[in-house]
Formats: sequence, structure tokens, C-alpha cells
Amino acid sequence: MAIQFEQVSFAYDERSLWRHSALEEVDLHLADGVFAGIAGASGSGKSTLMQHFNGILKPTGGKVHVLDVTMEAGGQMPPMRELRRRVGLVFQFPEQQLFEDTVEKDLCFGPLNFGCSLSEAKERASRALAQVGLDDTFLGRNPFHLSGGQMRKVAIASVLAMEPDVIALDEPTATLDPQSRAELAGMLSRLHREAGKTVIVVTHRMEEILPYAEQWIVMKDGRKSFQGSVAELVNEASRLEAEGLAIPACIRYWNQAAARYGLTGEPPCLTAEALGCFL
Amino acid sequence: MGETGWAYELREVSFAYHPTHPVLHEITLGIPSGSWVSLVGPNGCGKSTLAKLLGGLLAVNGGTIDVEGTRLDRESVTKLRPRIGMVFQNPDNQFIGATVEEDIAFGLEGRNLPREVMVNRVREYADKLKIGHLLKKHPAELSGGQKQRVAVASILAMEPGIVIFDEASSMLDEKARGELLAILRDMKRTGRYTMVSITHDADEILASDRAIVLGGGTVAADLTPEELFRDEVLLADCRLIAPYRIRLQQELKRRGVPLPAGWGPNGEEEADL
Repeated sequence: MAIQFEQVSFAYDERSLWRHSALEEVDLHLADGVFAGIAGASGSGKSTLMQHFNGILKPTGGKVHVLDVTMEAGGQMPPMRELRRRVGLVFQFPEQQLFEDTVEKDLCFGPLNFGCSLSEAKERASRALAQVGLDDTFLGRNPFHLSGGQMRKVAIASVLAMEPDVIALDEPTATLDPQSRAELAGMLSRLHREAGKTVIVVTHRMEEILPYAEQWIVMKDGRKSFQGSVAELVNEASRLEAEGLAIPACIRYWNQAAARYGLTGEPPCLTAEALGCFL
Repeated sequence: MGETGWAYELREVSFAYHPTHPVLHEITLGIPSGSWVSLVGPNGCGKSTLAKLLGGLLAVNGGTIDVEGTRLDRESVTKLRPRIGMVFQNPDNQFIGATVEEDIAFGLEGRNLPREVMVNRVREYADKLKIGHLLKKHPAELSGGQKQRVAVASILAMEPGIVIFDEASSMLDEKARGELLAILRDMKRTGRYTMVSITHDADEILASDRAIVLGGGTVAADLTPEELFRDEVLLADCRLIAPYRIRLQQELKRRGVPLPAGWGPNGEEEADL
């Protein structure tokens, strides 16, 4: 199991008047090598949940197991350094964290800080860049002269250069144009399929990773309101919609088709091509 | 509403931030008063630059812009600017007041309006945008969608005839995006506003009357949103993707399957193309 939460709660400013509970008794289990999506409205606790994956936030209640590390509320915290290398977090607008004057220097920064030699760091930089679909000609370029989509990919590559086992991304496609969003989702799927990474994507736009994600988690008001496969998500769509989740059009159309043609229980067809084929 | 019937008339408008890198080249177009236009195109094509020219935030290097029949220039800009409201991408960057009430009142105070007018306007537009219960709230207590509603309320309270939305929905979650779109549709229905949306959002483009595609510094296409979403080459050039409903309709058409009657969940989506 890559990640397991047992009754995890988290409160910001736990001991102050401004205590704000962001997670409440969350149980969660994500297997090694899974591609998972985390959805939910703004303020539902998605980003707080994600920041527990490498110990940036530590639970104020319950237990978090990530790979071979356990963080228990109130207990002695284990060393985090290795966990931080093995679990890469990509925050919202990660391009704002680029700071070097060449892409290569930015990509080498993490590995060098974790003790890699310069030559090893450079090899990793080149490999990570290839993983996000950019070639070595980008290494010498100034990251601030790239397009928004390319900067986003470089920022993701800077996390991949640490060669993490798990990569969790907070709204990686936000504000990109629709085709760049689709390309980025396809790139994350390749990372999952070809490099065997555990990929977890926090997203507002479920339809973007619906073709790839095997597991879905839906958060609401700091609680987990759903965890399951895509088929289970489709089955529970009306409940989740009633709870305020924006259900993608492809699920709504499939559910209508299923009701109309008696297809309930069939594996859902969630692309226009697949549904067109079916009808 | 402009006496000419045109909110904007652009003639051979050119602009460059640097002489060697022209952004817009001899753009000529008209936007009728009361219409809703989407400006689309790939990143870097000059959409936001054009919006700033339309809003009087930048001055043209060549050509002319008439706003409601008045030439936009150094002399007229201060008189014309109150007719034009702009809503930007990041709601956090637009919040000025310490409370919602102060934020909506900020522009009105700049106009030196009598206090009772300001109080009434703040109340009226807060109610219209369903944020009347948030007037005493600090921005940190609001969600992104609520902050964007405040931004729209503060613009509409100034009662502009023209409102420009520069990627106003791109940082919002799905629900807030839908709510903002409903506001834009309501604004359109009143007939009081000329609206210009710069957007990648398929639903927002579809809700507008007309799509102007910018490419190579000029108007590459000027067509209805439906025509845009059926033109795969143009969509690829603009880096847009058609909404699922249209892709499904096209797929069914390709396969010779008729669209099931009445198919189309939820409100506006049911409109058949």
C-alpha cells in the first residue's frame, strides 16, 4: 500500500482561537502504482489531504502511513528526508517556483541537494525532461522564456528529477488552455503506465483525467465522501451531484444512455468515441 | 448605449510592446452595443493586449478605436473609462477593500457619489450577485467563486455599458465557473451590457453571440461559436476542445446514429445545435 490514512484529522492553528478543522476522520487507501484522482469543491480539504502525503502537514488526529513511514498524531515523528524524496508534490502553479536561469539548473537543484553528483544530476535532468515530453534542447533555455504549458512541464520535471515513487499534483492543469490540459493529462498517464509511478491528481476538472484514473476520492467539508473505481463513481454520480460535486458531462450522458437502453451495470463508456461506438 | 449602435469600432488597430515585436497588426472590427463577443486564440496571440486596448489601459500605436461613437485617445480616455468595466483572472488580485462592502464601494467613492447613492448601489448589486449576506466579510473568509462575484459586483455597481472579462473563470472550480457563467447569461439577458470575454472555456464561448479568433496578430476568423466548435482546424489553432455534447453529436453523426430525442441533461446544454 503506497498510502493509508486511518481516521486522520487535521486542524490548522490547532491550539488557537482560530482553530480551523480541514480534515475529519479520513480513512484512505491507495495501492502502489495506482493512478488516482481527488475531486471536491474549493475548501473541501483536497490540498490539505495531499500535503500529508510527504509530511509537509502532519495529522492532528489519527495515523498516516506513506510507503514505509508512519506519522501518528501526538507521537514521535519519523525522519522525513527520504520520504520527501520518494514522494514528490507538485503544488498549484508550480512554475512560480522556478528560479534558475536555465532549465537544466532548475532540474538539477533538487538532486544536488539530495547529494547527487553533478553528472548524475544532469543525467536525471535530461531523463525527467524526456518524461514530460520535452527534449534536451530545452536544457539550456531560460525557463521564463517558455510558454505557460512548457513552464508547467519543466516544473513537474523538476520534481520527477528526484525520481520519486509517488507523485501528487495539485490542480496541475489549472489555467492552461484546453489542449495543453489534455496533453498534460496524457503525459501523467504515460508516467503511470511506463515508469510505474503512483500518480495522484487533485483536480476540479474530473473529465480531464477520467480516461486515466483508476481510483477516485471525493472530498466534502473535510470528509471523504467517496472512494472507489470509475464504475463506482458513475453509479454514485447522482448522490455526489446532490452533495454539490460538479459531475462531468460524459458521466451524465452515460448515465442517461444506461437508463434509456438498459445498460446499467455495463462498464461505462466515458469518451464520445466509446459512447458513439456503443449506441 | 452608444448612439451609433456600436460599442466598439476598430480601424486598422496596431500595437507593439517593442517596435521589433508587433502584437496586433491592423485589426478592423466592430462590436455592436448589447452584444457578447468571445475573443479566442492560442496563448500569446494578443487577446489580453486587445482587451487592454479596448479598456483604455493601453494606447494604440496605429489606427483608431471608437467607443460608443467617441474616439478613444489621451483626452477622451478619462471620460470613456467609466463606461468600461474589466474583470480579471485572479480574484485575489482584484480585492481592494477590507470587507466586501468596502470593496464594492471603492470605485463608487472614486466617483465622488453621494453617500446614500453608494449605500443603495452596494446593496442593489450585492443582492443581484447573491452576496448580500457577505457584505461584512473579510476577503480571507470567501471562496474563490465568492471573490469573483465580488469583483463582478464592484464593476457592475459602477454601471458601465461595456464589461470585459479577461479569463475571469479560469481560476474557479467547476461549480463557481458554472455560477459565473449564469451571471454572464443574466447580464446578457438584461440587454444593458456589451460584453467581451477572453476565454478558453467552451461553455462561455458557446453562450456568447460571436467568436473572434485572433492569430498572427490579426483577426483570423470571425464566426458564431457553433461554427467555431465544428471547425477542427480552427479549434486546433486556438488550442480549444469542443464541449463533450458537441463531440458526441459529431461522433453520432459520423456513425449515422440520430441523436436521441430530448437528449441533453441540464438547462442550457439541452439547446440543440
